[in-house]
Amino acid sequence: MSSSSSDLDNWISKLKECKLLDETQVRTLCLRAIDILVEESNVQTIYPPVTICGDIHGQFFDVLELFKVGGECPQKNYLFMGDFVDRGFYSVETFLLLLALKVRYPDRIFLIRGNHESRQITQVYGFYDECLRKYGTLNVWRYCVEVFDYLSLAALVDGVVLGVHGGLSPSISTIDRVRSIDRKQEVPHEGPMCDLLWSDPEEMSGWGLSPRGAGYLFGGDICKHFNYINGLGFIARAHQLVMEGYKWMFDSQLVTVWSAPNYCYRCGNIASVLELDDQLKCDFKVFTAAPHELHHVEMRKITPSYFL
Amino acid sequence: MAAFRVPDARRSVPGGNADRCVQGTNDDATVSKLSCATLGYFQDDFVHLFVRRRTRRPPMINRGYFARVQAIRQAIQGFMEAAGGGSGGAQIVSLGSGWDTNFFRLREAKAEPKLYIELDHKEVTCSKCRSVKKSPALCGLLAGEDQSGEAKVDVESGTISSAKYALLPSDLRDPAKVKASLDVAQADYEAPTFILLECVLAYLDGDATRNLLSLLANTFERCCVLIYDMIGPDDPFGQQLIYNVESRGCPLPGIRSFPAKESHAKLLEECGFTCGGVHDMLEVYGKYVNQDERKRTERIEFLDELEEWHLIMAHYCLSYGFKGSPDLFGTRAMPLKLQT
Amino acid sequence: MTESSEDLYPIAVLIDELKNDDIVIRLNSLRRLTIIAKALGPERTREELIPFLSESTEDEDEALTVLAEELGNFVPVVGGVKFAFHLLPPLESLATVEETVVREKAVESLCKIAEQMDGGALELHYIPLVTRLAKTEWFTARVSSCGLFAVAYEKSSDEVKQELRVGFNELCKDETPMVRRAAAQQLGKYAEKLEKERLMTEVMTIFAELCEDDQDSVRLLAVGTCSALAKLLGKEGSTSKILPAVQKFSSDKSWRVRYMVAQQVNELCDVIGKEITMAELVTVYVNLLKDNEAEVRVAAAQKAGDFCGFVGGALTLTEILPCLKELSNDTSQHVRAAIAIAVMVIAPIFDDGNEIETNLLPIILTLLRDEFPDVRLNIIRNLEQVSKIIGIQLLQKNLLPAIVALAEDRHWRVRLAIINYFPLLARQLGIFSFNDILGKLCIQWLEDSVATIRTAAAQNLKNLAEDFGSDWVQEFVLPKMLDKLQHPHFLLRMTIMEAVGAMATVVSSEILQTMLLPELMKFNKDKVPNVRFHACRLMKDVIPCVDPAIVSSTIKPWLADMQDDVDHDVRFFAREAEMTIRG
Repeated sequence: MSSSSSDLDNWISKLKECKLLDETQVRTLCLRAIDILVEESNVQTIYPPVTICGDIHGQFFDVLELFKVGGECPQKNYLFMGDFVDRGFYSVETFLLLLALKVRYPDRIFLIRGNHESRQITQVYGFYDECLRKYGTLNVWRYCVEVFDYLSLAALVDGVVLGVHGGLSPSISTIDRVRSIDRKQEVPHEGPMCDLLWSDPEEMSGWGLSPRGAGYLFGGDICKHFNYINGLGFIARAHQLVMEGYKWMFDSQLVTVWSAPNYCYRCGNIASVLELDDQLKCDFKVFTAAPHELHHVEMRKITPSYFL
Repeated sequence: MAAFRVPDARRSVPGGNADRCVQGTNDDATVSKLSCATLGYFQDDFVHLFVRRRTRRPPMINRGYFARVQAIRQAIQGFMEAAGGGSGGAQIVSLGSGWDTNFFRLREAKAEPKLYIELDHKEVTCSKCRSVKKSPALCGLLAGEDQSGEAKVDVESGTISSAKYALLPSDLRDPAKVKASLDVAQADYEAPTFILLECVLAYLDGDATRNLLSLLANTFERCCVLIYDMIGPDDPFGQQLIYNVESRGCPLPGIRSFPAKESHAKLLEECGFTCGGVHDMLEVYGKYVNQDERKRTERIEFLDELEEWHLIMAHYCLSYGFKGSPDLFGTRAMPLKLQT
Repeated sequence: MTESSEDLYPIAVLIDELKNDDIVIRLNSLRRLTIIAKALGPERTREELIPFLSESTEDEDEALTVLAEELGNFVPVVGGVKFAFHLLPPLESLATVEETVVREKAVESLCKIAEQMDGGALELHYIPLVTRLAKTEWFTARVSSCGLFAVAYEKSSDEVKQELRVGFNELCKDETPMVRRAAAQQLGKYAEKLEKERLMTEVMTIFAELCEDDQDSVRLLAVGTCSALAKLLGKEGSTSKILPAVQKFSSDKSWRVRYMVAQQVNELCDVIGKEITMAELVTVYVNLLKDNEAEVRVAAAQKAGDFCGFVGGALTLTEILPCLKELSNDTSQHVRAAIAIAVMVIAPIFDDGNEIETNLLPIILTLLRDEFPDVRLNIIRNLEQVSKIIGIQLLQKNLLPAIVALAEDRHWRVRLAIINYFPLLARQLGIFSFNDILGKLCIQWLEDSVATIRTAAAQNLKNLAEDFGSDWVQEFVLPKMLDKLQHPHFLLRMTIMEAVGAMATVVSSEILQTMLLPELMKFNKDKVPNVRFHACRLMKDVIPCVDPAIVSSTIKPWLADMQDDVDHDVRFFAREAEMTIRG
C-alpha cells in the first residue's frame, strides 16, 4: 500500500469532478487516513486562521460552492464539524474529498465526528444505500465507517474557541475530561461521547431531555459556566439547521454554524461558514446552493419527498 | 433568498404530462403510506395491493403521513359516529381519492357508510380497477354481506359500481362533470355526507377550487368537508417546495391561491360552508391526533430531523367546514377533537 | 467437471441471479444478458434463455426496462435475422405492462428488430403482433401499438398496407384519450412512411380530427407534429393545411397547446418561407409573446433570436421589439430572464447604432437593474455582442454606469461575470478611459469577501497587464497595491501577493526583477504558514520568467531557507518550486 502526494492530487482532482474512486483506491485512502487520525487527540489543537464549517450532509456541489466562497484548501485552513454524510446525494464523493484533502494536507484541514458518522445512523439516512448503489458492494461503506471511529470529537482553536458537533454533556465539565474518552468505537447511545455529538443548546436554564432521543438540551447558564471554567471565548457547534446559516445564543457564548444550503434540497435555507482570521476575529461567509447542481442528478428520480 | 437556481429550470414541464405528473403524486403518496404500514405506523392491510415496489421512506416522511392518515381516520370516525353510521344513511365522498383504501378498511371493520364514492382522473381509476380486479380480497369486500349484489369492476372505463362503493373517472376542474359523476354514483344529496379532499386542491387553480367547493355546498344539503393541503408558499421552505414539486412537472396553483390558514377559512366561507376550524399539521400532530398512537409511533423510528420536521409540518394544514346545521354532527368542533 | 456441466454453468448462475431477491443483483445479471447469450450459443439462447425471459415479466419496472432494452440487441445472439421472431413474444408482453418507461423501451426494441426483418417475416410474425396489440382490451397495449406501425409500412404488401392504415386510423379515434394521445405523438413518424399522395388526404384528415379533440392533451400532441408534417408537405401544403391549424392553436384555450405552438413556430417559418411568415405568422408570434401564461411567454421569448432573424430588422422593430420592451417588466422573473437573452441575441440584426440606442438599449438597461440575478447575468454574459455593435461612445455614455453599478452586485456570480467582461471592455475603451472609470474597481475586487472573486481579480490584473503593458502596472497598479502587502489581515496579504505573482509572469523582466520579485520574497517571514507556502507556489510560476543568474543568486537561497520552515506544507511547496530550477 503506497500512494504518493501526486496520487493524492490526482484523486483530489477526480473527486472534485464528482467522480468516484475505485474500491482499492478508497481502501488505500481510508487506511492512510486512519494512520493520520489515530495520532490526533480527542480534542484537536488548531491555530488560526481557520474557517469553521457545520453540517454538509453529502451535498457535494454545495461543498464546492463553500470552497469557492471561502477559499480553496490548502490556501485556507478548514475545520469541518461533522455530518459529512447522509441525506444528500453525494455522501461518498463528499466524504472522500474531505478525507483525501485531510491525508494530503493534514495540517490544513481538520475533521471532527458528527452524529451521522455512525454505522447505525448511516443505515437509515442514506450513506449505506448510496455506497451499495454506487459500488454494488458494501466495502466502501465498511472502509468509511471504520474511519469514522478514528475521527476526533472536538477541536480547540487557539485555546479559546471550542468546536464540537452537538454540544455539552452533563458528564463533562472540563475539556480534559473529553481528552480522556476512548473514542475509537461506534457512537454509543448514551454517555459523554454520545452527548458531544447529539446535544442541543436551548433557551432555558440547566439540563433538559432532548426530543431527539439522544444527548441533552443545555441552557445558557450551563454553557456560560463551562466556558468560564475552561477559559473559552465561545463554543462553535453545528447539528441544527438554522435558516440564516448561523445563529448566536447565550450572549455570544455559543454559535451554531450550518453549512448545507437548501438542506436536503428542500429547506430553502442559507448556509454559512465562520472565518476566524489570524487575530481570531469572526467573519461569517453566507452562501446559497450551487446553481448547477441540479444538472448533475436525475431530478425525476430524486425529487425530495413531500406529502403529496 | 435562494436566488441562484438552475437558470433554465422550467416552472413546470409542458408537453402533456402535467396531468400525468399530478396523477403521479398519487403513486408517491401510496408508496409512502405503504412504507408507514410496513413499519407499523398504522394498519393498512390493503395498500400493498396497489404498490408493486416497496420503498422505505425517511422517518420524517413516515411520521408526517402517520399524522395525516391518523387525523383523517379520526375525522371519519367522528363523522360516522355523529351521523349514526351506515344505517343512519351516512355517506362519504372522496375527491381525487387516488388509491386510497379507507373504504376497504371501513368495510372490513363493518363500519362502512351507506355509500362511499370516489372520483379521480381516469388514468388513476383505471389503475385502481385493475388492482381491485386482481385481488380476491378487495373483490370480496366489494360484494354484499352475503356475497350477493355482485360488484361491477370495469377496467376499461375505470369504474366500479357496487352496493356500497362507487368509483368513477371525473375531472375535478369541471363541476358539471363532477355533478354528473355523483349522479351516476347515485349519491344521496340529502344524506349526511363527509367530503374528503386529501392533497388535491394544491393542484387546482383557485377558480376551479371555488367552483368545486361551491358545487358541493350547493349539491349536498348536510355535509362536512375536510381538506388536507399545502400552505405557506412564500417563505424559503415554501418557495423551495413549489420549485421542487413544479420541476417534477406538477404545477401548484392552489398553494398560491390559498397561501395561509386564513385563506382556507375564507375559502370555505366564500363557497357556502361554515368554517369549523383550520390547523397546521404541527398543531394537529401535537394536539389532535390520538396521543397514545402518537407516543407508540414515535418509538418506531429515530427522528433526527427535528428542525426540518417543524418546517414541513407547518406547510400543511387541515381545514374543515359544514353545510347545514353543525348539530347534525354532534359537537361543533367536529370532526377533530382536542386530545387530552 | 464434464464439458456439458461447464456449459450449464453460466445459465445456471444467470437464472439464479435473475431470481435473486436483491434488485441490484438482478439488474447486474440482466445487463450481462448479451454476454451470457453469446456463451450459450444461438440455439440454446432461443430454446432456453428466451423462454425463461418470457416468464420473467413480473419483475420490478427497473428490471423490466433493462430487459426490454437488452432484447432489442438480441438479434445476433439468437442466430441472426431469420430467427429474430423468437424475440417478439417477450417484448409483446413487455409492451402491455402498466409502466410507461418499460413499454416505451419494449416498443423501441420491437421497432429495432422489425427494421431488420424482411417483408415476409414481418407479415408472418410482426404484423399479427401489431394487430393483436391494437385490438387488446386494456389500453396500455393499444398505446404501445401506435409506435409500431411506421416501421413495417414500407416493406409491406399493398394489402397489408391497407390493413395497417385502417388500424392506425382506428387508434386515432380510440375512445381512450391515452391511446389518441399516443397516436397523435406517432403521427409524424407514421406520415413519413406513407405514400406522398396520402399525405394531403388521409393524414390531413387524421390531423384535422386530432386538432379538434376535446382533450387538450391530445390537441397538444397534434400541434407537436406540425413541424414534422410541414416538412413532409412542403411549402404549399403547409401553407394551406398547417398554417391555419397553427393560427387557430395559438389562441387555444389550453395554455399547454399554445406553449407547443411557440415551440414549433420557427420550424414552420423555415418551411413556409419568409414572405408568408411575415404576412401570417408575425401576428401569431406577437400573440404568443403577449400570452396570459408565463410559460408560453418564456417559450416564445426563447425563439426570438431565430424568428427575428427570419423576419428581419424592420418588422422586428415595429412589431416585436415593443412586446419585448413590455416583457422586460414582466411579473415573472423567468420571462424576464428569457427576454434578457432574447434582446442580446437579436441585437446583431440591427446594423444601425441609432436603432439600438433608441430601441434596444433602454430594455437592456432595465434588465441590468432587474432584481433577479439570473436576468442580470443573462445580459452581462452576452454584453460582448452588443458592446461591439453600439460603439464606444454609446457604450461609455449609457452602458458603463450600469456596469459599474453591477461591479458591486450583492451576488458574487454577477460580480464574477462583470470581471470576466473587463478585459474586453478595457480593449474597447482604451487605457485612459479605462483607468479613469474602472481601474479603481480592479483593485477593489482584490478585497472582495468571496474567494473566487479575489482570485478572479488577481487574474484580471494579469490579463490587463498583458494588454496595457508593464508601464501601466508600474504607474497605475503597483502604487495602489504595494502598501497593502503588509496589511494586518492575512487574506488581503495573500490576495495582493497572488496578484503580484500573476502579473509577474507578463510584465517586463525589469519590472519583475526590481519591483515584483522583491515584494514576493518578503513573504517568507509572514507569520501565517498559508501565506508562506502560497508564496512558494507562486514562485514556481515566476522562476521561468526570471534571469537564471538572479534565480541562483536570490531565489535559490530563499527557497533553501523555506525548506527549513516549521510547517510541513511550506517545506513541501518550497521543495517543489526548487525542482523547477533544477529541471
